[in-house]
Amino acid sequence: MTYFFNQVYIEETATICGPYEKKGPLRRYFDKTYDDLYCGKTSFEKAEIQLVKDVIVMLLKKSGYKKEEIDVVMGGDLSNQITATTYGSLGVGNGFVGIYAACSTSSLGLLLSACLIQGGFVQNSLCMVSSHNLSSERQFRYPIEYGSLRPHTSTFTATGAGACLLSSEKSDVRIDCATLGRVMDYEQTDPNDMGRVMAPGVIDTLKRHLEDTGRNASYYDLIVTGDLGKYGVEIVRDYFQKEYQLSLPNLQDCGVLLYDLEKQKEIHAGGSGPVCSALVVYSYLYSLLREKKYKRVLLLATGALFSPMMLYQKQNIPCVCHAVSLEAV
Amino acid sequence: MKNTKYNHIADLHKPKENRLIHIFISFLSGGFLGLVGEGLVEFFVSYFSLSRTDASTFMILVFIFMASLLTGLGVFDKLVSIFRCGLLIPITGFAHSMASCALDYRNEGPIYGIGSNMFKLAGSVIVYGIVSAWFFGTIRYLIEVFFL
Repeated sequence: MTYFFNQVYIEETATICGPYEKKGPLRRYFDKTYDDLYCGKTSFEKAEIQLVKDVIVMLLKKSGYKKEEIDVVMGGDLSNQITATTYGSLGVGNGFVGIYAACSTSSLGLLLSACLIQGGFVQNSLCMVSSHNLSSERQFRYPIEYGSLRPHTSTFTATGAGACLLSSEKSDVRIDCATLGRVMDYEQTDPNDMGRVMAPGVIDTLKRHLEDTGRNASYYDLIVTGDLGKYGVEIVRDYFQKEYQLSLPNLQDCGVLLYDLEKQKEIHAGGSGPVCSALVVYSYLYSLLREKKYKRVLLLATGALFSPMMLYQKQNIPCVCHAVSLEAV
Repeated sequence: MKNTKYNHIADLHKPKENRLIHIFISFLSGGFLGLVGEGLVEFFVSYFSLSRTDASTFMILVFIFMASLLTGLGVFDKLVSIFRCGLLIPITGFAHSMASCALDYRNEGPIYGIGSNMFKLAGSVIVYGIVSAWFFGTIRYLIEVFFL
């Protein structure tokens, strides 16, 4: 299902990142960086809450809005009960919506907020996402100090928080349309190869987006996937070529753009996490759209709906992907 | 049908892992650890006049202590990424798994955190170690009773 919007604009964005993202090529686009993964707190979960608090303060400062002027705060993260978002957004806004779509939360938030604004229910909405490398490591993988060996296809959860303020007031970048994704299951079971798990989501959503809108892939200056990693992007490109005879030369991945994969060997195939796409889109691509270097960008944030418990019960890992089209005004 | 087609395409883009090299490195590092252990046993036997059994126990204690200490210092996981499973298979890996779990849950307190999560990774080893020890002990006992 694709929704079209004509009065939803991105008014301002804010991004905060951790030490690994700071070493990456997009460093100068971030508003604030932390050198320490604890962010001055005693645990990584508390550090993630701090990241969310910081990014909200940063966004309000940049946009000039007051806490109580925000109509809706919408966001999510990877932790159980989305604690980073709920604790971090305490005291902000007149309504709260917690959403979970794993790493595709960033585009789902944009989509839902855009619907609320387009429908005239709210004037503005604060969308945010966060993730923390080590709190997700604890939740989904092994203890932090445990020396688990990783294959080349594994991805690295990005640390940081990203927020953007959507409103009905005209600005430089608008949300043009968005395609809601479906849960896909291609019977993938390898948690160390999330690109392969999530690529079916991108294939389905991108195909439906192009059909619904009647556009070619070349309509967009850039199509970015959320966190497929370098191997996942190749799968999507190859699949479109072989199945639909469509070439996607303008397809890139946020997880690859965020880091310098040649130098940062610990990243392996690329970045992941809800904030991975947010850090790239809300900072780097947003500024390119503002400067009119890009006219149209399609964000396909991907999420592996992964639960270690279900995997131990011999279930597959399903995935979802939501698409949001951004346009320079 | 769709899945086989997808898997076929996805397989083309799967990078190769250098298993042979990893196995070789693990073989060397594990073997080196064994050599150090043997050296320690000899050291304890000749300098502290211990029996070989007692010396082995002390050697294991030294290994457990070193692995736990290096885990606490945040070095062990980096060593594993270089020396591979050669460090995880011996007793050092066991100590490392317990120390890393304990460290991981220190924020949740001594009862709900460290106490209940320390054996998260090592628990399986202990349970099946005891089960197999009972199993082989029984076999040995039956052989002794009926055949000797």
